[in-house]
Amino acid sequence: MRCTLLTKFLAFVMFAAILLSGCASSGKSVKKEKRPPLPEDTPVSFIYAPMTPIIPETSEYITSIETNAASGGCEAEGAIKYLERQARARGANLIFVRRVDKYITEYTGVYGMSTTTRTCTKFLVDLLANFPGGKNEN
Amino acid sequence: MKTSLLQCVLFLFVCVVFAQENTGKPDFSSFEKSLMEPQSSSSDAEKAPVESESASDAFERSLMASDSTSSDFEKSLMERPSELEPIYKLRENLLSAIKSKDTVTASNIISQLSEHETRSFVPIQYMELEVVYIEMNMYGHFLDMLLKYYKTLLDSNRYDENLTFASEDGLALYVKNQIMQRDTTRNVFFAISNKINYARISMSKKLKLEILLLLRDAYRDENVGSLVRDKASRFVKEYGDDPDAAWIKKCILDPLSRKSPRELALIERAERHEDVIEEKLYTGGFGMNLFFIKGGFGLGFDRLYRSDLYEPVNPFVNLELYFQIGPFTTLLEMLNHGVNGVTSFGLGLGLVVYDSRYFKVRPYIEYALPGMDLKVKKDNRVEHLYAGDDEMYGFSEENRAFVAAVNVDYKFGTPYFFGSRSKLTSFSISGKFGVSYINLEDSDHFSGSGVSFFFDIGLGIYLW
Repeated sequence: MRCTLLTKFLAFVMFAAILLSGCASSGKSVKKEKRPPLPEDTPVSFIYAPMTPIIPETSEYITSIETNAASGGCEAEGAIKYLERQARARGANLIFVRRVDKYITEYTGVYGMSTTTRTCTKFLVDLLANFPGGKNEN
Repeated sequence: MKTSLLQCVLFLFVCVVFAQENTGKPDFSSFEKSLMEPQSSSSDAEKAPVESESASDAFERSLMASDSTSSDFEKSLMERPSELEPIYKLRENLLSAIKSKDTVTASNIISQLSEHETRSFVPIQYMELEVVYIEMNMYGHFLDMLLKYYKTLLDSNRYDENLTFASEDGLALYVKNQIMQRDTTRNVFFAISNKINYARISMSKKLKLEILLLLRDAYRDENVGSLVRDKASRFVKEYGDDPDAAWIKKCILDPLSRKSPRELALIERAERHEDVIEEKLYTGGFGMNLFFIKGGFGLGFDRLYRSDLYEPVNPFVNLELYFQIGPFTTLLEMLNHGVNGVTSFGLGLGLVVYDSRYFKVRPYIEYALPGMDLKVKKDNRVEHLYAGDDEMYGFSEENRAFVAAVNVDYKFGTPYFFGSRSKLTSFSISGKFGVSYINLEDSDHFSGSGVSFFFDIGLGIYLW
C-alpha cells in the first residue's frame, strides 16, 4: 500500500516537472547601444573651459570623467593620456576640461614605516563627439 | 608781450602733459601678466593642447605687447606700414568720437574698421570694442560683438598663424588705461549691471548680454558659474523662440548644468536600473523566505499519534533558505506539511523555470527528515513528561519525507543593494504550493504515513 502510494507520488512529481519545464525560458538582456570606439590614431582635441567656456554646437555629449591617482597616475601628462584613451574608447574626439584641481595624496610605505605625500592633478572633463557634417549619430 | 608769454606757458604745459601721458605709465608687462594668469590653479592643464588658441587669446594677446614706453610708442609709429595708415586714421577718429561721445560716428567707424579685417590682420580687437561699447553705453552693439566673438571662438581656421593686430596707438593706450581702472577681482558685469538695466534694448537682449558678459568667468568662479547657469536657464525658458536660445542651451547652459561624475553615476545607475534587472534574470543569488500563513490537508495519517496524550503544535513560521546558481537552486527548509504537528527539515534541488521583473517560479524536489512537535496533555511520570511540555520527536533517518513543490514569488520591490551598481535586492510575497509523501516510524510517540497537500504564503528577500 505504502509502496504503491509512493510510486504514484513520484509519478505525479515527474509529470509536474515535465509540465513546468515547458514554461522555462532563457533570460534576455537588452543593452543600450553605445557609440563605437574610435581608432587609436584618431586625434583628440582639448578645450580648456576657463579660457574657452563654450562647446561646439555640433558636438554631442557622451559622458563626464574625473581622474584621480588611480586613473592615469598623479601627473598631468599621465592623466591626459588616460583621458585620450577613454575618449577614443567611447567614441569621443573632443575633451572639454571643466576643471583642473590639485590635491594632496598620502601613501604609506612598507610596513607603515613612512608616510609620503605628493601633490597630484585631477581633471574633471566632459567627453564629446564632434564630427561636423551630421556624423554624431550612433 | 603778455599774450606771447601766456602762449609759451600754455605750449610748455601741453608738452609736459603729453610727455607725462607717455612716460608716467605703469609696468605694462606685469599688468599684462596679471591678465594672462588664470584665476584657478590650472598650470598643468595649460600644457594640454587647447583648441582655437589663436581665436580665444585674441584680446589677451593684444595686451601682451611689450612695454609701452614713449620711445617704443614713437618707434612703432615710425615702423608702421604705410598701407595701414588708413586703418590707424580710422582708429584715431574713433578715439575722437569716444571722447566726444558721438555714438553714431563711433558705430560707423567700427563698421569701417571691421571691413578691413583679414585672416592675418585685425584692425580692432574684441577687448578694444568692449571698452568702447561700455564707455559709449552702446549695449546693443556690445551684445552683437559678444555673440560674434563666442560663436566664432572655436573656429581655429579663422585666422592665420602670423596674426597681427593694430596696436600701439592712441586708441590702444586709451583702452589699456580704461582696463587698468577696472576692478580686476570681479567680472566687469558687476560694474555695469545698473547701466545695462537702463539700456534701451529689449529684456531678452539684456539677459543675453548678462550671460555673455559673465561667461568668461563661469568656469573660474563657482558663484559666477551658478549665476550664468541660472540666467541661461531663465533665458531658454522665457525666450525659447529667440534665434540664439538653442545655441545658448547647447553651448553654454548644458555644459554648466552637467553633474559631477558621482552625481552622474547615481543618475546613470537609476537609468540603468531596469536594464540591470533584465540582465540579472536567471542568474545567481541568495534568498530567504518566511511563511506565516500555512495550510493544507493530508490523506492517510490515520491515528498518527495518541490524541489523548498529546496535541500537535505547529511552528509559527516556515523557513526556507535557498541558493541559486544560474537557473539551478538548492535549498534548506523547515516546512510544515499541512498536517498538524508534522514538520520536516529538508534539502532540495530546484530549477527556476520562469523569471521576470515581477514574478519568479521555482519548482523543486526535496528529501526531508520529518518529525512531530507534540504538546503533552497530561502528566506521564513514567516518561517524565508533564502537562504543557512541548517535545519534538522524530527528525531521524527512520522517518522520511519526499516533497515536490513550487515557489511563486511576486517581487514587489527590487532596489539596488545599498550603493551597488550591479547587485540587487528583491522583496517579495512568496507562495509555496506542494505535495509531500511522509513516512513516520517513531513508534514510541507516533506512527503513520500519508500524502499531504500544503500551501504557504509569506515574505521573502532575495539578494542577486
